[in-house]
Formats: sequence, structure tokens, C-alpha cells
Amino acid sequence: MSTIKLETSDGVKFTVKTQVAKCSGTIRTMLEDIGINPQDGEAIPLSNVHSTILQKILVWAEHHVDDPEPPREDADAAKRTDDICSWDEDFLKVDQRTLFDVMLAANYLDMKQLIAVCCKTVANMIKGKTADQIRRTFNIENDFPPGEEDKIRLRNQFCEERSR
Amino acid sequence: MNINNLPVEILEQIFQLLPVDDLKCASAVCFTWSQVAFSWPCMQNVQLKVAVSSFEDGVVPEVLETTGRRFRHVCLRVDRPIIDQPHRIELISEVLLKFGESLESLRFIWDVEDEMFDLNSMLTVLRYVPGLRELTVEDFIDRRDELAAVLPAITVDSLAGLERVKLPHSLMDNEQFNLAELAPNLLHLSAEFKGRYPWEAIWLLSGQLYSLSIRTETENNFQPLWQIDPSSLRRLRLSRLCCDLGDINDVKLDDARCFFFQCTAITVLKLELHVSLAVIRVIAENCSLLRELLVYDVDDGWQLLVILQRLERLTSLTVAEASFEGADSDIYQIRLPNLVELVLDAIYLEEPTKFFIVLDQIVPNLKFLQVSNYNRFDSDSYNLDILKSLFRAKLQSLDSLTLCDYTCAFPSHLLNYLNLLPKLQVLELAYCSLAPWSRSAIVPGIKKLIVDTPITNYQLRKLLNVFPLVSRIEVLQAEDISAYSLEELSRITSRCEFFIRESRSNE
Repeated sequence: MSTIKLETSDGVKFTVKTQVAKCSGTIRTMLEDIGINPQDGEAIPLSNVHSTILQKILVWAEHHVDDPEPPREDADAAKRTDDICSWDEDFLKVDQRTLFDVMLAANYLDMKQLIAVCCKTVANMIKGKTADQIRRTFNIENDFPPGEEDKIRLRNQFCEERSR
Repeated sequence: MNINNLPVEILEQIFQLLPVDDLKCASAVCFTWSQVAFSWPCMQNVQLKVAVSSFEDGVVPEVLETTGRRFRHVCLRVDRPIIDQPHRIELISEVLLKFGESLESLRFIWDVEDEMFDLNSMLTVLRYVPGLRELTVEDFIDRRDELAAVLPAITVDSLAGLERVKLPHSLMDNEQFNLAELAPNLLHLSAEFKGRYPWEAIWLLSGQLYSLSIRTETENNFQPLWQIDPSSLRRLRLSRLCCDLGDINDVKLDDARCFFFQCTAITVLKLELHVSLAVIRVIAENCSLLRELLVYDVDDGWQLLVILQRLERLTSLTVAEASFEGADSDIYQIRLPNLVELVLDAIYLEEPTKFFIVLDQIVPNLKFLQVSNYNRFDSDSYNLDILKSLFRAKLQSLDSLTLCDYTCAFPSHLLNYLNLLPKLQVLELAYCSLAPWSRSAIVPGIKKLIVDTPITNYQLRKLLNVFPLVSRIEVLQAEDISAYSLEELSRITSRCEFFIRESRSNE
């Protein structure tokens, strides 16, 4: 089985099965389109990803490497957030810092399925909360200029779920 | 590292997963979030809700000042007359024209007190939204008994982009209105009507329609349907639900044979009217792509399942008002291996125990099961029998179960029986109440619980003891919202997410 080397921002080198590494669209493009030859033994530099996060992401990729291509769902089905598989649920039971770092790295590595499941996790953290509860959950400062909040409240009064 | 360090595209992707009520809360969190919440991609499910009366207060234009062009869906409630009221028409046009081509759907609600639906008002409004793709019309006044006065013909301007419409009978039955003229390129039609007049337009549009949903209460009003060309249809729903259902056979075998023979593209078929097994056999023989089927008022449920074996792609089946009696040994041979969703509504089971044991063999991959309105005889023993039989059958692959009957209370002493279903994770109970229970029960498998029943804090606490690993609970809003004392709830719900629904899910 072929392997390739990846080097993270803090200089740690990982030897990874090529198939697992190809879960990342970014690495796949490098290998297939740009023609980087992994046999040269040279590590692919991932200058935006720290080794602790890459380690975590590789665990996810290893588990999902044989997943079939997700079907193209219609917009309604794609809005579900209660369909996270229990393995992923456990995998993402981490502190917020790690979760967001994973999302940033997954974004850089172009791993759509991982991003999707992270987004569902965050959406579930937002759902059912008031604005104030959300601020406390994510440690966000209320930075509205004066008067802006009233405008938003007024606008929100005229918004409702689209009926079908 | 804070959530706001994530790139905007990711925040957008998260916000797109939020229902609008949560999106509104998110928009009030901070400046960045207010911008993202009302960005173009996040507005996909947001609808602007305005009434003619609110235009006159002058608030609406102000609301639209910053975000106007991003709204793609508008719900306009006409609650004051607009014909012969030039200033109101001007206000409406001013707002609608702001959206330009970005407006995709319009929901037009007629709600002028004591006034019959006015076609001219609707056509006037439609003139300002030439790029519309979707139109829903509702008539809140609905004066069924009055006939539209016969007036001179009205010119209906075509909306070439209109693909999807949902129209009430007061519009469909109005002989001044011609649907084929309004929407020559229509793909999806959902309509209610009483008379024969609308069939001509449907006939003109047939051959291009992807989906067709018709509701009527008139006897034999589906007669003209069998003449149309159904070859393009993907989804068909026919509904003639009224009190004399069952006495009349709306679908004659010869008509059906010819019609369904041409229905080769159909994937979803919902028949809310009496259909004989002979007709269902014709459907099973011809509609090989069918994956979702709803049938109503079936005499012989077992025979139905035998026939449905021909539909190899069928994944979802709803059987309403059917009876399963007098089974012979053949039923053990029935196999529906691709079926994953089954709804049994108002069915009668002669032998509940046998039924569910056989069901486990017939549908080996069943994931979702709903059993609803089974309280037919108001007999406690029959009702208990149904539930016990269901649990004892140990349906091997079931992960989601919905039990529903608003005419009775849920027998809470059966909660322990849920452990007999090895893979069950999602449970929905919709009853008038939960019967009090004293026996202790514990059901560790359930992850998600929906209780479509007003419950008290006390019951909620007890339920959390029964379902210790539940991570999400949804309950129906009690009439008295103070039934949930918030300080206590935060303690109760610290280990799971808690939602209060405003209305019953299946209404």
C-alpha cells in the first residue's frame, strides 16, 4: 500500500496511506493535477495545520476512508442536523478551540464531509438558544453600534420560515 | 480561537442549517453575525411577511432599506381592498419592484373581511413580479357557497418563468381565470377545485407537468384526469377526502389501466381516495420506478402487501384505513426488502401479535415505523394489545418509532417494553396525555425523544429518568407556558437539548 509524507506547520512529519490523505481535496489535487510524486520521499508541506489537529483529522479520515460518495440531496434533506452518526458525534466531543481548529484545517484541506458534520455540530449548539445564551456559549462580545439592535429586531419581525 | 475566527463561508454554511427562528437569534448576537445571517446564501429559507395594512404604517420600506434585494420569498397578506385604491397599489408596487428579478416565490393571501377573493387584485400584484417562479395563493375568507359573478373576460398576463403553483378552489373554479394562460411553462401544480372547469387548463399543461396534486370533494371529479398525458409525471397526489369516502369508486379499472400504463416516470404516488386492489395491481405492474406510495381505504391489507412485492424500488409506504384479517400461510412468503419507512394509519389488525411478528420478516430492513390512530374501538384491551404486540415482535432494524393517537393517553407502564426493540433510538409519542406511571422504567437506547403532548415539569423529570441517555427532547408547548419553570429546566436540560414546539408536528 502506497504512503506519502505530510509535514505540519510545527515541523512534524506524518506518514499516511495515500488513500487516506486523498480524503483531502487539497492533497488530492496536489498529487493528481500538479503531479507531485510521493515516491520521492519528500513531505508535502501543510503550513496552515498544526500537528495536534492533523493527527485528529487523520483519525477521522482513516475511519471514513471507505465512505461512499454522498448522494446529492435536495435542499430540505441537507438542512437536517440530527443525522450525525454516533462515531462522529463522539469524535467531535472536544473543546470549542479544537473544534474550530479542526474546521479551519478541514477548510484548508478541502474536506467537505468533515466540514459538513462540524457545521451540523455547531448548528446544534446554536439551535434553541437566545442571542444572549449564544454569546455566552461562544464567548462573543455584543459589538452592535447604538440603534443597530433595534433595526435588527424590527427586521426580524417581518421574517418567517418559508412555507412550502 | 473563537468561532468568529472561522471564515465567513463556514459561518454561512452553519447558518444555512438553522431554522429561521434560530437564524433570527443568531442575527442579534453581534455585528458580524447580523451580516452573515442576512447574506444571500442564508436567506434561502427566509420569507418576508407583510400585509397591506403594514405598508400603510410605512414600516415595510424601512425594513427593506438594507436587505430588500436579498429577500427571495415574500408572503403578502391582502387584508384591505386594493382595487380602486391607487395609493395602496402604488405602495405594493414600490415594495415589490425593489426586489427586481431576485424574487423567486410569492405567497398571496386573500384576507379582506367579508370580501370574496378578487382575481383582479391578484393579477394586479402579479404584474410587479414578472420573474416569479413559484406562486401560492390562499383564500382565508373562502366563501364557498357564493358563486363568482360572471363578468367580462379578464386578460391574464403570462408569467413565463412560473414553474410551481398552489391554488385554492376560489381561483381554480373561477371561469375568468385560466391557469394555462398564467403559467404556460408550469411544472408543478397543486390545486383544489370543485367543478369541471379547471380540467381544460390541466389538460393543456399535461405532458410537461412533473408533479400534480389535486384535491376535490366532488364525486367522480377525477374522471377527466384519465384522459391527460401522464408520461412526464414524477409525483401524483389525488385526494377526495370527505364523509362518503368509500361508497364511491373514483378510479375505474379500465381508466386506470390506460393511465398508469403511461406513468412510467412516476416515483411518488399518493392516493387519498378509495382505490381497489385491482387498480393497485395495475400500478404495481406499470410504475416500476415508484419509491413512495400512499394508499387509502384498502379492504385486504395482506393482499396489498403481496401485490406491492413487484415494486422493487419502494422504500416508503403509507397504508391508511386498511384491515389485516384472515391471513393464510402465504403471508410468510411476502418480502419487501427495500422498504425502510412504513406508516400504518387507522388500520385494523385481527391478530396484532401475529401481524407484527410477520411484519419483521416481511420488512427486514424497516428503519421507521409509525402506528397512528389505532384506537378504533375505544377498547383499552385492543389498544394495549397493539402496542404490546409491536414491542414484543422485537423489530430488528427499527431505529425510529412514532406512536400517535390523540383520542387516548399513552399507557406509560409499557415504557420498559421499548427495550425489546434492539436498535431503537428515536421515539415520538403523540397522545392526549401520558398516563401516570408508578413502576420504574429505564430505556437507555433512546437518543431522541419527541413528546407531542403537553407535559409538566414533573413528568419531564420522570421522563429523563426513564431515558437517561437522551440527547434531545422536543415537547409540545403547554397551554400554560409557566408549566415549565425556567430555572428548573436549565438544571434538567444541562445534559440534553430541549425544545418546545408550538404546534403538533403533523398538523
